[in-house]
Amino acid sequence: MSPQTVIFYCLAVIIILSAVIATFARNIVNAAYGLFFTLLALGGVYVLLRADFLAVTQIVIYVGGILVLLLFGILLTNRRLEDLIISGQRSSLLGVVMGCVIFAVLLAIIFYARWPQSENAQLEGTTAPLGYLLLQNFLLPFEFSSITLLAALLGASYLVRPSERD
Amino acid sequence: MTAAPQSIMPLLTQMTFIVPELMLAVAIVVVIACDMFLPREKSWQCGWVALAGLGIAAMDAVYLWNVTSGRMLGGPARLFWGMVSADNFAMFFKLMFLAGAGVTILLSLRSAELTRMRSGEYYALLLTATMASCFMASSSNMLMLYLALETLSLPSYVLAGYRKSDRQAAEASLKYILFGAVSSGVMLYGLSLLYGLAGSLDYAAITRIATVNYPVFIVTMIFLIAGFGFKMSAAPFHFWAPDVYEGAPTPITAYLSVVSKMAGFAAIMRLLAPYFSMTTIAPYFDAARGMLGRQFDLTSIFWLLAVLTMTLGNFTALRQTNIKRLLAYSSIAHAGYMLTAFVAHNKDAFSAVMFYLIIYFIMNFGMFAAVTFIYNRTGSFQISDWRGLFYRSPIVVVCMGILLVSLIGLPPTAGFVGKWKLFVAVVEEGQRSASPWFFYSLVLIALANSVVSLYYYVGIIKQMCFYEPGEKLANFRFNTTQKLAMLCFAAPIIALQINWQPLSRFVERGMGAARQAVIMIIPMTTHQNQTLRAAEKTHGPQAFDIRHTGDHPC
Repeated sequence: MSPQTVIFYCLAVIIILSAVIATFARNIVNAAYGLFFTLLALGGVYVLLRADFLAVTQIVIYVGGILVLLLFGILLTNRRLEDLIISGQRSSLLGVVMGCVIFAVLLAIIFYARWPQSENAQLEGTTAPLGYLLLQNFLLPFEFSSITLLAALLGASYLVRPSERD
Repeated sequence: MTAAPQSIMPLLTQMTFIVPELMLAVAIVVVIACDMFLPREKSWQCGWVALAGLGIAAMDAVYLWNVTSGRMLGGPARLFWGMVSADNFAMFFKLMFLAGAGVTILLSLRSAELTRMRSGEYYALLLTATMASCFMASSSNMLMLYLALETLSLPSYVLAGYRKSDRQAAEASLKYILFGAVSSGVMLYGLSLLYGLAGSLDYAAITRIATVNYPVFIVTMIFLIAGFGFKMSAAPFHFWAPDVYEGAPTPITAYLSVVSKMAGFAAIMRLLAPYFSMTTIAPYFDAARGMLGRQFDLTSIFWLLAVLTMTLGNFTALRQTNIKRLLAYSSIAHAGYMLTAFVAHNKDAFSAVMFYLIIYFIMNFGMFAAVTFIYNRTGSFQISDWRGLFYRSPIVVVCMGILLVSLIGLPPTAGFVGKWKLFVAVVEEGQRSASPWFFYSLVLIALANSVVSLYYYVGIIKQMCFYEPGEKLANFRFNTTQKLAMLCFAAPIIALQINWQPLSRFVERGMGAARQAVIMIIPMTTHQNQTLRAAEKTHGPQAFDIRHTGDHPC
């Protein structure tokens, strides 16, 4: 077993365990911490896949930004944490059955499919090629995503503004 | 790095093909700017600015319609490194979306639900959603498609809950977001599988997967259908529709039921066009074949989806007393009728869907216009409050009657022609097929569903005509504008039953009918067109192609 494989399995265990915690934790703060480790370990997987830019982005945006925002949101909005924000599951039997079916199908697919093997990429920075791609092949989606963000910003600012209706 | 297909056309020339979208982007900014300078009680005037932007975009779309004429659906994509295609199919839907947004804005300006509210954001978001639907109809790359889908969804979530102080609106918005997030996540998972297999997000890459990894292709398609089904409000993904339709402002309900749904249909039609002849290629899933008595393929999935959607929609509509909920279930049922075309899955069937979508556009906007007008005076969405409307305004009730009969699909209206075309396409495919009853049974179920729908549509007519007017209608009358608007919706429904050839030709051109059928409205001597033709002369008709997918039967 190469060291890479060992690291991969370690990361996989962390991802799965923390994801389970994030899903089943009754207290939302615990769930957020579970999510924290999931996202962090996922960044590690990106490093293993030699997607350095993606790994950094993952940590900066998800771990550094979104998750901290989530925690602050919880801490600032609710004093009585245990009373107010408790996640619960209903109709869990159906959920388990559906989940198992989907899992089985996906497992079958993953083993059945003939995945193309990429040539072993050299360990070089992906940032520069990404920059070129964004202004060439993905120019239109790149520019269009600014409209997406504008819409999200407009919508969010409208919804959080105090109601004007008297 | 993915292989970068080099485009010959300069970027600026490519941009002329997306001028309608660019105009909308400009209009969004202008609307926001206007909203900043207008006081709240005058901010509704942003609607006119938005309307002007739509008008300019529509004019350009009409112009491009002639430029791109004759380019087949499912043909090669050529703009922006294969992100979007410039063909008449895209232009057809862009025109419909722009028209739909225009009608929505006009209704919004006249809706009592939206008065005294700040409306700059409202129109800006509406324009954003419209721009996104335009890209959804033309995108030929998964990334672009997903981005357009999300950009259509985000403003829709906000617009559905635009009446913030209203409890129902908040519930509608929240439900819409939750269902939207789940279906978009499922779709994204499917896309990730596709990308892993193909190494490319181009639609053409998916064609290759279908031939190599057929079962994976089917499963990923099911995931993708979850995303489209959400937009089309097809059966297992329809749960949001009734609550959102009820809670959203009525013009937005109309927009969601027509434009949003059309965008879903446009995107899935473009995605599936290359598989017209491929649905029976792989002899996999033997067990499933034995179980279903037929090969388990895309058509089987659509068969189930169509039957489930129309049956659920129609039978649940029977019990509705709120007109917006009833129309929500009716729109689900109509999505089911249109999904039958994906079972037949050939060029005629797709033309029939486009034909039906135009008629559906008129019928639904007409009905929602009536709902808005009546709500303005009565403040009620209950069908029982429509009692005796006939005695207050016979002209409008006759118009509404025409629209309702058309929704049923009975002869003196265009709804009949639309359904006829759809079902004939399915039956003809059945005649060619080895297992005709697979197709015939679908048509029989659809016909039975139409009979069921008769009950609740006629129920509305009965309420309006056979009762004394209730107290809510005491001093009720429509003004002249409203009467004219209703006539404008009802007249084409009758006219298209008498002669639907012009509309058929329009749809044929939308599918990329032969170039000689083009009526030259604008002399085509622009730089844009010269570049296109010159490049075709030197490099052959596939000048800008980034893919050669071979024979498309379409």
